[in-house]
Amino acid sequence: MQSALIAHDGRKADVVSFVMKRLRFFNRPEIELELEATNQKTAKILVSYYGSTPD
Amino acid sequence: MEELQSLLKHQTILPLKINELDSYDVIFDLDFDDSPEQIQHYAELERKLVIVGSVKVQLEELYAELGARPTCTIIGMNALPTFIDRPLLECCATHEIDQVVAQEKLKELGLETRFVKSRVGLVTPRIVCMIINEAYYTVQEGTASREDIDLGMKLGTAYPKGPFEWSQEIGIDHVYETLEALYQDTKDERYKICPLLKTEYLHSFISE
Repeated sequence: MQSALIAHDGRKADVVSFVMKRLRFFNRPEIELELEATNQKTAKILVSYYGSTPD
Repeated sequence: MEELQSLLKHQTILPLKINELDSYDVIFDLDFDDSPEQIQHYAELERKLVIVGSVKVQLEELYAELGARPTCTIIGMNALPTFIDRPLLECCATHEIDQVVAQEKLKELGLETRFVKSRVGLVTPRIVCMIINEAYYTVQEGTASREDIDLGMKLGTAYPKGPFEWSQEIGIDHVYETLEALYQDTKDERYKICPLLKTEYLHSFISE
């Protein structure tokens, strides 16, 4: 299963909080993070997670 | 845990490839409120679960513009700063089937949700932003200072944060835009934005 988390670069603190509060979902050994941007003005963060569904 | 936190904070930024979204099963879009046009991309996805920040927009309005309900499951959530920190996600769905599918999937993934009606402002942002607006009116009228209001609301009513503290943490832009969306949607005077709040919002765009 793969998940993406999208947010503006300016919301990095929110992304950290969002993920940290949901570690059962996000804190997997297979986690893969990518930060992406639509263009220089509207930076976006794409946090992608690769792994199996938690038990 | 610290490693993950550090990784999240220090990642570099790369160009977003929207067409790659198709390779994900679950998509969380914390930015959707400010980029509702993304609905066009999400509507094209099939058999996906898309969870979008939808405090300032009502999903039904976007579907009406599209002319159809998306084929994938899209649900709204309260993704405003400070609310996103809570373990429980405030969500909404336009159709019961979307709620059922999303609840099942999110439960399976270990994410706690509470569904509310699909309306502009959802529930907690609507109430909190209205309280912040009222606090601004109170200062504008000279009834009390910001510090006294924050202290009074914390000590007297056991609020977790004073309205001005909360406003700062949510961001004056989100507070203003949520109230504006509520006022435009309902035309209810209770959401009419305090001029002092509006002035601060406008000042946030003026560089010194």
